[in-house]
Amino acid sequence: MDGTIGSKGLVKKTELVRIITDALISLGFNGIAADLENQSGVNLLDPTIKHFLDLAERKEWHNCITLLQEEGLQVRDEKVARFLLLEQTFLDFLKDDNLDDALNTLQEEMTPLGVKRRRLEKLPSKFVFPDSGEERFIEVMRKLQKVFPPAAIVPEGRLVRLLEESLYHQMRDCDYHNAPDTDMSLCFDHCCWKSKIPSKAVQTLVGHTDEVWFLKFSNNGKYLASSSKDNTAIIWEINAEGGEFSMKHKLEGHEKPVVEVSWSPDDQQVITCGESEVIKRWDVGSGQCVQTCGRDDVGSISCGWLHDGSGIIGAMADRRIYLWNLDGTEIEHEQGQRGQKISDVAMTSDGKWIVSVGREQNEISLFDRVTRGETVIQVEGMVTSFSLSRDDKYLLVNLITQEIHVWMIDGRREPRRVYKFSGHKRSRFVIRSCFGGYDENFIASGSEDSQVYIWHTDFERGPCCVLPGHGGAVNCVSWNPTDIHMLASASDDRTIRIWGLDLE
Amino acid sequence: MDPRQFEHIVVKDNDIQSIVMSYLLHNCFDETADSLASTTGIHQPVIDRDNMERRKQIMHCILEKKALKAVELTEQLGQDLLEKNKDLHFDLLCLHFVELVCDGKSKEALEFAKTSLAPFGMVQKYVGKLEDAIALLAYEDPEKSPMFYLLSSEYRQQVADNLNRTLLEHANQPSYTPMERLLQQVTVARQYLTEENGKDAFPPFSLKDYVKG
Repeated sequence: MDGTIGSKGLVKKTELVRIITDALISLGFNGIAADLENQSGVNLLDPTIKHFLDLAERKEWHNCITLLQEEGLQVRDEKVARFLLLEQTFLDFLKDDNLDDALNTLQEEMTPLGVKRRRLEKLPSKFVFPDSGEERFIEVMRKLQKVFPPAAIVPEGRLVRLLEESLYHQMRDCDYHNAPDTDMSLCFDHCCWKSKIPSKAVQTLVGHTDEVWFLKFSNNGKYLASSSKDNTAIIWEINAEGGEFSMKHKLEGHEKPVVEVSWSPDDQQVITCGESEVIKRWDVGSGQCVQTCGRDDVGSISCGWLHDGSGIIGAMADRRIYLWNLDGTEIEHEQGQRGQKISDVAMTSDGKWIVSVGREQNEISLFDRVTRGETVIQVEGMVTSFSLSRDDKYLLVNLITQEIHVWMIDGRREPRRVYKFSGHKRSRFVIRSCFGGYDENFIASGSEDSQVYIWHTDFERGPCCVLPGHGGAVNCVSWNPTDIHMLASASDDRTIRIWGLDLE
Repeated sequence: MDPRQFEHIVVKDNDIQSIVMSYLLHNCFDETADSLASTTGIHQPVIDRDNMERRKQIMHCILEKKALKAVELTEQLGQDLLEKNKDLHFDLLCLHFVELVCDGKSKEALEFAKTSLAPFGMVQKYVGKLEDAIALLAYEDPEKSPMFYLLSSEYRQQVADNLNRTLLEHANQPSYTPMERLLQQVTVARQYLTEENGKDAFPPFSLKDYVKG
């Protein structure tokens, strides 16, 4: 079994056999593993080393020391190996209250080795403080294994680990990777390029009678909620077999255009926000309006849910943020009146932050509900809308300058801008964008030129896909959180398009 | 006044003798003090001879490696003295431990450590020195260990000095001699003058070099 196998001459045959033997054992095929060892003549573990480790497992330290000396075991540093074994005998003497032998081991056998001085000097303290820092046996065994040269012992699961690394590299090398993990295979190299980005309009949803301004998939990806200038919102449901959407409920009741729809964390309810009007809460199953929130003196600008679904947030025209319980009672909110009109508001899913954006100025406010402190992010231009990633770590900001910025706001460090995207068109209206795709590595945005723009966060230079088809400005996009191959867009042309994979 | 005109200051002999005398009494050199008094005719200040005798005894115990006896004598002088000066108490007990180790009485040393030193191990600031002391046991020949400073006479002298000062404080006497204070002040003044004239104008003041002449 000498030599190497494979075209690059990097893989030693004996090592390949050994890691296969280990893999067979982890799959439960001990018999086959033993056969392989026999037939190939290659041992997973050198018998003497195996003997040594067995003795160590049984804590027969003296026998280990003898083996070390007499069998001439190949170790990295003989003195260190002896030290570790003697240390165990020392600790055993201590446990038995055998002070004489313990002191003797220490003074006459361990110190003269001249290694691990710091560790050595901590040992006498164990006479006085016996309970201090006892090492777990598993740690001791790990140290003893490291006494041998690196290739002498195959780490458990080595083959699988090498294969996983290889697959992971394929994923990293795949630009615009947007395939589920189940697509990865050991049998062929993965490369999806742009073929897995939704780029074909698979369905057009007609139902609104005026511009569609907003839309969002439910958390479970089974519903889509849209809102329009026609004063209504619609809940669309996906048909389990065909994968097509159909209208489930039309939510009528607002007397003004509906600017936003938001799903409750459990997807049982939605809230809709009328333009400078009120916020209404609806039951998804029945389509009935169960609550109307607002204030008599001031209209609503934007809405959101409390992270646990126990209440509603409303940003109102008086530049304040209000919180209501589901029974309609107001909750104390510490943030004072803001300096400028608020256009968007959201709460992070851990309930810690309220994020809001001012319209006139270029600031985003992160209000910490626990410390009552506010962090303000200065952006390079006026903000028109924002969106949070699902893990609350990233903030997507649309600017009046036709740029989309991504900020990292993971709470432990100062917020900082990490990406900048451009290419789409925005001059007069509020255009919204969102995170989506595999690991939320994509950004999708609407645009006034009637197209949907998609970027990958690794490639800031330009969009990787531009999807024409709508007959009017695309105001809002939403990426299905449970189906990375489905995107929806809302347009001034009164329709909604569902985008999927181009399978040709 | 120009500091460089110091040669015009008149220093009286009496003052110098007082300074030397106070130094001798502070460090318990009773015989030398008597000798100085009788030779110069200077009046010995009224001091507590009994206190000085005791302090002398205690200092010698430490230097003669009898730390536990020093502790006993100190407690006779004032029962709460060591309680109020835990750092000192710790240093003395450590010395006793080291003495036992040097005498080859390892087991006794360990027993002593478990009963008397272990409580100090709970306090962060003593842990380092305690570990150093106990670590001596790893070496058959403590003198050859990296912690040999614990065995040195310089270290014992240092502990003895600390104890001396504490005892003087306890007896409401000054814990620093005028000699020490004067030398400290001179050093600071010279340093300051050197810096005033620019860093490179004069070399930094060294008391040691100055004394050599």
